[in-house]
Amino acid sequence: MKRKPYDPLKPRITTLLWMLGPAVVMLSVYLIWPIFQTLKLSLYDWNGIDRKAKAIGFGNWVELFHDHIFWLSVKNSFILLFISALVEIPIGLGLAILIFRGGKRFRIFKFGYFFPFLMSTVGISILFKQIFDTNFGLINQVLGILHLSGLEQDWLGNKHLAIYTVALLICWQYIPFYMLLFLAALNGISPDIEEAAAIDGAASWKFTRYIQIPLIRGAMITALLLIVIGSLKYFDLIWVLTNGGPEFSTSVMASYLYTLAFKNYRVGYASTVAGALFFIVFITAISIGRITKRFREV
Amino acid sequence: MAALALAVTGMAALPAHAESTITLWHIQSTGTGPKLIQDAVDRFMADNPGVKVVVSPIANDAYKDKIKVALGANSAPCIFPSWGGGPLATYVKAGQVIDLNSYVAANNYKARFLPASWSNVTFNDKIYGIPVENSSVAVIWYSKSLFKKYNLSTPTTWTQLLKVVAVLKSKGVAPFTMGGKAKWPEIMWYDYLVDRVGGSAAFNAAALRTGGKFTDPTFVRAGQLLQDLVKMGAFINGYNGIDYDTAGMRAPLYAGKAAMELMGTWEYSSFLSDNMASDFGFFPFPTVPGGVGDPTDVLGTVGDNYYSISSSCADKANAFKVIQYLIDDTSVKARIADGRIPPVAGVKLTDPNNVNIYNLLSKANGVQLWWDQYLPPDLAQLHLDETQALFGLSESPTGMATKQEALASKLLGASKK
Repeated sequence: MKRKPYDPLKPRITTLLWMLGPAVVMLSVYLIWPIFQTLKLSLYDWNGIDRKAKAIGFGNWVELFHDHIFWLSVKNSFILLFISALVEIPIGLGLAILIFRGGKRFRIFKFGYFFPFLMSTVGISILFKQIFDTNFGLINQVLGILHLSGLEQDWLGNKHLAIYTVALLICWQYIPFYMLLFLAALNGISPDIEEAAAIDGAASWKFTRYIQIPLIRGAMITALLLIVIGSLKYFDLIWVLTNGGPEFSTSVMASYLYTLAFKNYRVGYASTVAGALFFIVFITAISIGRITKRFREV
Repeated sequence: MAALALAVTGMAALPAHAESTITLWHIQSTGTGPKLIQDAVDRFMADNPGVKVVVSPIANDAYKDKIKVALGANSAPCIFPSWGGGPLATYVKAGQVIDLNSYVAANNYKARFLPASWSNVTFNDKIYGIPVENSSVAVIWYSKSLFKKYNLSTPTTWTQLLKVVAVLKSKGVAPFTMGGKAKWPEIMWYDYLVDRVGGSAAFNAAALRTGGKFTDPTFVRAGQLLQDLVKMGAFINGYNGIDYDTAGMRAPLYAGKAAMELMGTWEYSSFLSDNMASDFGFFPFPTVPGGVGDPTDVLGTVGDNYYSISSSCADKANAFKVIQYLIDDTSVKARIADGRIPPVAGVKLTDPNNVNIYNLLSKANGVQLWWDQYLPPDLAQLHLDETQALFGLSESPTGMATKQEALASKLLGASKK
């Protein structure tokens, strides 16, 4: 049997296996298998230290259903999601458009605005813990100097306010990333289109609104998907700033499962929360994908 | 090729070198801590060639998580610290640490330490940890300058304390600072009040399930007194979110914005390294009207970090020797110079503040370990959360009592006389 001539559009199976093999193995061992292990652990009651775990069927899942702290964490995760989407996308887009239109002289802004994204999350937390401090923090001090003491708040200790403080800080950290994403998308629009629009007499803001933005739809949907997945499983800033407190007002699913595993010594139940987190993110991401499907066709 | 063969035979001709490696984790990761431990370890290694000790200093809260993972994965270090109480009991039950009775009986080593220091590490008459670090109890630190400025004297009763609080508030000074983010500074208040109201018997009966309940009047009254204090505005603005670890709790004291704090005696080391020690004194937690608790009782621990030996350690005999070096006479002297109070009998202290603390400890009839270290972890976590909610005024004293009793029943069984 003669070997078929090489067709670049249909690579051989062996080539595929060699190219993808290592990556698939790594993913399976470090990503896929732990997911199944976690789901399996959710059926046990284990304190993480005993050599034996006790199998309890779906007991953890039943408890999860009635756990008001879990549902509060879910609610906070979604609050984070909505605030992130409503803040990061418009501001990221606005910055990207400004920098794009500004041309070369605005390049310094590109680097400047990108700075928060480069800082370590722990560094940001420690810095802003000082800024938000109720008694000595920069914000309250400045408000005092401006004779606006009435607006002074307990930014991280007030259980009704803390989640919004933290959410806005998270936005501050991630806006630069989306700015860059949209900037890349804008740069991907062929300059011929801009010339054609100019010839047809489109004013520059009309060009932005009716031509540029629709053409970067793909990037915007990608951004939305990234925000959805990232917000629902977010952990870092929440943990260092507030530990999920005060009184669980900033508790998100990831911080709750961490507390359960390492403070309450309940690894089995924490795995249940992790499993629930996985399903919630999965379902939400698929739904967003479905809903935005019709926007993606250019 | 020939050179290789020569080298190999040359190596085989060297005397056999018995090398054992012992891993030690500790949480004295700040200030003079790392040096104190490393010096002791270096002295051990100088006296014991052939045994190598690998030391890892780890920050407090990070350590709490790290040790659990290590134990769960059966790769715990040879020597590691705990605060005794509930968590150590968990390790004992899981067979992760060895009992040290035979080691401490040799040469009457046990008598070297203050008698009270063994209570947190003894389970079923077996000792599982050696007390090494500070003796730390909670006292009320106060700013001498602020007290002098407003003509205040240190209170011994709750009524007197409330008067001091009222005066400070009228002068625009927060009576107490608080670091509620981590929650453990808040439980000191509740735990002390329970002891003052109902005596140590009240807590023991409930925690050991020998006839008491966390819903007994003692616990409700303690919660009531505490919540009344919070409602009075006795705690500084932002009390439920301030972070102890980034010095957020001490800062108002240094700035004159707060006058007092209920905190462990280890705080003195921080005052010393912040160069503010001369302004602070302490007084014991006051008595409560109608309370039956012993006024000399203290909340805390005589021995703070207790070092245990993991059952998977390859060289247990040498591991015990290493621990002995951590608290030998040279180490004791170094710790005293550092402002600490080693849990060793008959120490000569120089710092007048530490002499006062040592006197407080020696007069104490009872030492109650912090509840978040004493109770089983799940219940401890609930206690922390509920206390924060109590401070935040979103939980009532009876609500807190009910929830604690419910979980205690579930975890430890019903309380029977």
